[in-house]
Amino acid sequence: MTVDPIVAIESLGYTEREAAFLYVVAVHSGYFLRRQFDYFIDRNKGAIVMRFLEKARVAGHIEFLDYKQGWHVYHLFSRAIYRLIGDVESQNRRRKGDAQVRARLMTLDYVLENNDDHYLESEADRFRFFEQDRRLATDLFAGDDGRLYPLLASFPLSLTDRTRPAQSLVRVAFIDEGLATIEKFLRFLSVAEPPLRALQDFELIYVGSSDFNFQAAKTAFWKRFSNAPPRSLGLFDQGVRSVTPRSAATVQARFTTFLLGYSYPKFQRSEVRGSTEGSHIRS
Amino acid sequence: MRLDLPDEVPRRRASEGPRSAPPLAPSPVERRRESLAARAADRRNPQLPIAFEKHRAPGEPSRTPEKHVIPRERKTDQRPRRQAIPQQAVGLSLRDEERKVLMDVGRFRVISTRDLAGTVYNGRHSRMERDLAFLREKDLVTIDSVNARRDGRGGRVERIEVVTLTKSGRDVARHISDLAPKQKLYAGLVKPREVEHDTQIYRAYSKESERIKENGGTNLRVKLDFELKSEVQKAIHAARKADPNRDMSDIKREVARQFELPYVNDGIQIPDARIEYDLPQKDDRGGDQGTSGGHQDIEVLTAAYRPGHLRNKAQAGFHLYASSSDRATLTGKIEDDHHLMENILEL
Repeated sequence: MTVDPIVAIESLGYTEREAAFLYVVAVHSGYFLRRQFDYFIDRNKGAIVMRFLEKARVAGHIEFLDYKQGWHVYHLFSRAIYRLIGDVESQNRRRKGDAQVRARLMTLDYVLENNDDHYLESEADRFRFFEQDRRLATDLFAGDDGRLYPLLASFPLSLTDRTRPAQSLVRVAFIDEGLATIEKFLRFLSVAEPPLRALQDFELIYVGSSDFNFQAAKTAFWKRFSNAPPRSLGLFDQGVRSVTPRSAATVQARFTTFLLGYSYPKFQRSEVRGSTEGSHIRS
Repeated sequence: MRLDLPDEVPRRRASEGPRSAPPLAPSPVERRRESLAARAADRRNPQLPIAFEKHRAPGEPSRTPEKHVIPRERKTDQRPRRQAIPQQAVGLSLRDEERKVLMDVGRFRVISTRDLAGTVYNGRHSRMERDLAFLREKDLVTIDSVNARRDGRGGRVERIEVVTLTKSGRDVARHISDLAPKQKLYAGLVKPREVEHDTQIYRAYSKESERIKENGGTNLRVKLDFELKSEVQKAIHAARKADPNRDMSDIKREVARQFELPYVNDGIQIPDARIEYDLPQKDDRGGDQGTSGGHQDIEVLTAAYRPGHLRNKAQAGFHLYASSSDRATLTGKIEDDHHLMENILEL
């Protein structure tokens, strides 16, 4: 019998909705803002969030990171919480650089804004979905080590209809945390294209806090997923492949841009990935 | 040789049958979606339906859905709502803490938020942050983040959040406060390199004022070195104007005596702050004889002080304060005069 993780978190002294929020944070981002908790419980500023934050801080489950004057980013870093959700070594528990923190906050915003979808939360869920529900060949979505490609594991993946996983539209969100170019998106596409084509019916959502890269990303996406035959992947497949190419018409690709109109921690576009400058623990 | 090439992409497994798969189990949050939505809609103690309960036969199960009891902490020390506070200025209702913040920041020009949280808010940072956000929104205070001194130490630069008044904040502070009319109030950040030192003056004042109050001192006023220097210079200028041929050291001695400041090594020593207070006077039989004035000069030492400078300050008889990290550096600088360290109090 599996234990409901939210009930388990409640046992640490949280109310149901606090525990549910911590669960969402632990699974999707690891970092959150005060307004995101308010959004989750459908409240404006008030004592509820303050009580929750104080409780979590005293319990040693979250740490406060300076954001700007009087503003904080909260990091859920307690091993106890991650153990209860069954992922004690989650990357969300680790301290991240500014860019990653920003991306994670945006991921959480995306998940909170689209909470009707069924999210494939863990790497195991995704693996099972690709392998068993959609019966894709393992080498399309996993490396030689048998693990999901990191770029496929790090972005939100959801189904619009969990009752029909074999037919449901699959939504993949690419989070642009303030990128100067679409290089990362192109890398993502190169990894995600084979499994997405195999899924046939999917929607790729480009999530950003500015529309800086939207047009370029859209162009790049349709360049790959236009009605033209799929790109060749193998080294020798140009001349040797004689099998009739799969009809492009069977792939129903959708591309959507999603602009998040929120304020996020300052982020330098030229920042080295993994840099922790600008974020430090409040003494 | 025949190459065994990979199959065309995309592809499915050969054993793939009709596309069917069992439904996925809902996530823990999805299972609670309804109850969470209901809790979100339940904003203010809803009226429970009691009609059925009244007519329920004994033994019949209750038709009222079980109310989920949210553990709530006991309400203690709740502050008044802003709407319930009378206006102190046009369109401005300030809490007591906010008024104290304005007065203290005005008197000391710059105070770190960490000190304010400790002295005015008893360590309740969230309250302070909300109040400061309100004051800043009303353009009464400015909050800056400045680099702390490093004094040759390596490592990462620490940032200090400091609060200063704006000009309108100074006017409001003057208007709403019950400070003595002579008490000068300051606005705006000056000398950014000395900000850390200046913030420590407030900390030293907090310690010194406790001591003065324990000894019966009341009606405390503060004079910062800005004000003292200005008064001293004005007095020197007036004396020189009256008698241009008079020896400068004589003038300085006289001015030092006039302001009750020490004259050490041909110079008037001016403290970082002077706390003036009233002390009750009593006659031999314990009767009340009114009050007499007194003052206490305080100086905050930092690691940047040179040994000669330190000696002058020690000889001047000021109450010396230094932070623990600065004390460690100062100890190394005055190896020959270790007795000086005994008089330096810790911040």
